[in-house]
Amino acid sequence: VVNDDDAPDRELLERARTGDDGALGTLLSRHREVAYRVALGVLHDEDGAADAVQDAFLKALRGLAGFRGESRFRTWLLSIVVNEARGGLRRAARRGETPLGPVPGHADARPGADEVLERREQAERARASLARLPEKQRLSVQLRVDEGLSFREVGEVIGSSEGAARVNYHHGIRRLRELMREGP
Amino acid sequence: MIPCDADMKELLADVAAGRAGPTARARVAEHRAACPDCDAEASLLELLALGRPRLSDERAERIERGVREGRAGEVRRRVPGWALATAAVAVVALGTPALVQRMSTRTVAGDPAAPTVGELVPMWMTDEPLVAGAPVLDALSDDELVRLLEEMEG
Repeated sequence: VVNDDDAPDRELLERARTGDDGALGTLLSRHREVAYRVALGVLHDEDGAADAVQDAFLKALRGLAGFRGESRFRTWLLSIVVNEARGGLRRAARRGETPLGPVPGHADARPGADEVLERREQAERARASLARLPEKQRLSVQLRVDEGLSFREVGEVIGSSEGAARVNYHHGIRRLRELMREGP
Repeated sequence: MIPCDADMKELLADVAAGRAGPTARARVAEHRAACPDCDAEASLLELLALGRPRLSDERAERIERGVREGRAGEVRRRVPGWALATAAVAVVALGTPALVQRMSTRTVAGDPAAPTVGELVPMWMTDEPLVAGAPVLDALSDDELVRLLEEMEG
C-alpha cells in the first residue's frame, strides 16, 4: 500500500498530472496554506490570494517539465505563486483598484485574558507593519520567519540572489523595528 | 557571552517560529539574556510568528475545488479537436443504430421489470439516425465520445 503522506512531492506531482486524485489531494494539503500566506503577503486580499494559489497549482501541474529538481518543489511552487500574485496586483492596478490593507492574523486569544489580548494586538500591529515594507523586504522576512526558508530559497522565490535576499531580510527587520517603535 | 554574529541573527528567526531544536533554543535564550538588541529582535520575530495568517477551511476547500475543476477541464481539452470532430461524425453516421439497440434493451437500475431507458426518454421520434442520435450524443462528454468510437472500431 502506497502511503501518500510519505511520498516525495515530485512523485505526487507526476501522479497528479496523470489524474491521480489522491496524489493531488496530498500535494494540495501539504502546500496550500504556505502558498496562500505567500500570495496574501503580496496581494493583501484573501480572495485574490486564494485565486493566485489555485492558478499557481494548475501552472505547476502543467509545467512539471520546468521543475528541474535542483530546488525543493515547495520553493518552485512558491516562485510560481509570487508570479501569479504579482500578476494579480498588476491586473488590479490596471483596473484602478487600490490594494487592501493588511489582513489581520489569527493569533489565538482567550476572552478575558488581557495579556493574551494585548499580545494579539501587538502581533497584528507587527503584521500590519510588515505589510508596509517594500515587497522584496516583506517577502524575505515572511518567507524566512513564517515558512523557514533558507536565504538561498528566499532568493529563488523572490527572484534575487541569496545575498540580496539576506540584505532584504536584514533591512526589513531593521525597518520593522523602527515602525514598531514609532507606535500605531 | 555567546557572540552576536550572523549565525545568531539567523537562529533568532528559527527559534521564534518554533523550528529550532533544544540546543539552539538554549543558545538563543542565553544570548538574549545578555544582548538587549537581539532580545528586542527576537520579541519582534515572535510577534510576527504569532500573527501569521491562517488559511480558513472554507478557502482551503475553495482552492482544492478550483484546482480539481481546472485540472479536469485541462484533461478534457487535451483531446485534440480534430479527433473529437472525427469521433462525433463517425458516431452519428455509424453508431446511432447500435446506440438505439443498446438503449432499448437496458433496464433501469438492473431491475428487469422496470421500464427501459428508451421508454423513459421518448427521444426516438424517427428512424433517421442523424436526427435520432443527436440528443444522446449531445449529452455525452468528450471522453465518452472517444470511448464510444474506440468501442465501435474495436
